[in-house]
Amino acid sequence: MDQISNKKKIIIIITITVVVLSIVGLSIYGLVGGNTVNDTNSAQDDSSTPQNSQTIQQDVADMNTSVQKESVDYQAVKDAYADKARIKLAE
Amino acid sequence: MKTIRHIYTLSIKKTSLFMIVAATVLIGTQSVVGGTAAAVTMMNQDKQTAALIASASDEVQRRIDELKKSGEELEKATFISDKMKNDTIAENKAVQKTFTDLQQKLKGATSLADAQTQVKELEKLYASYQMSNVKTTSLTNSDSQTDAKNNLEKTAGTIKSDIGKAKSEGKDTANAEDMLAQITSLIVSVTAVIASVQALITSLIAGDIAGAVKIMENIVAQLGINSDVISSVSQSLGSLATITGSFNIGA
Repeated sequence: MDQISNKKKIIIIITITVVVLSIVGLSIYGLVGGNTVNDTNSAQDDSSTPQNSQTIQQDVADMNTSVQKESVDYQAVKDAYADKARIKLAE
Repeated sequence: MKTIRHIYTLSIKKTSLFMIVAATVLIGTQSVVGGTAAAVTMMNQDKQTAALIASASDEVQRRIDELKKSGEELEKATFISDKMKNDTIAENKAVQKTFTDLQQKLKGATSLADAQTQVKELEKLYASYQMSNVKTTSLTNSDSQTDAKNNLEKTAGTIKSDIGKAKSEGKDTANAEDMLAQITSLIVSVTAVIASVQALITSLIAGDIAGAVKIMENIVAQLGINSDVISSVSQSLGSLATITGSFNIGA
């Protein structure tokens, strides 16, 4: 009888622990997630302040696009130079 | 005595007959075996020839496809001179034609020796293929580096203008100005490297294989260094844009 009661106690303790940890975990996740969203928003707010140059965002976007293309094109040069797909033929 | 002689004569005759039959059978068998061996050798050679032609055709087609692809990319270039672009595309197409011609010769190869001759030619043409392909892709890359450089300059100009406005409002812009000065000097280096790489690309002539190999290595290395600098300048300008955004000019 005592053994059954002990088992019940252990199960109750484990259940409570799991529930508490879940709540704590979700809260932390919510806080971090919320902060990330807020950070992104505040960064956007800063950059879109009307008094600052409005062209900067477009300039940065154009710059990033061209830099990405440059990186792809350089990879093509490396591939052409290494030419790993070459079929070497025994004469 | 007569009987012994008779037996002896008979046995000689039998042996002779046996030997004639055996020799006939042997000669017949040898000719069949020889004929079969020749047929097998012929079949093996046909298979070998077909396999060699198939592999060589695949390699020829691969080279044509690679050259076509790099040529089409270069067609889209907008910042390099028309002369550089057109000359390189013409050279690319001329090299493609050598492979198209070789493809036809391979199709017409009827013997193993013939196929081997074409394969030797294919291997000999490798350097001109690689040279032309590296030259074409390098010029495209040089064009995209020029585009990226122009955009870096444009972004730096906008940031400079924002810093100027913030400074006129009495804000502390010293750190941002220092950062911008360093970035601007890197953009100047990028511009110089682009010019020197384009000169190297122009000097890369597909015919002069021995000298061109060194130049080709140099081009790939220089483009790589410039690519890294462009990427780091772009990141720095991105950070600087955020810093100047925090000045809240006019607020």
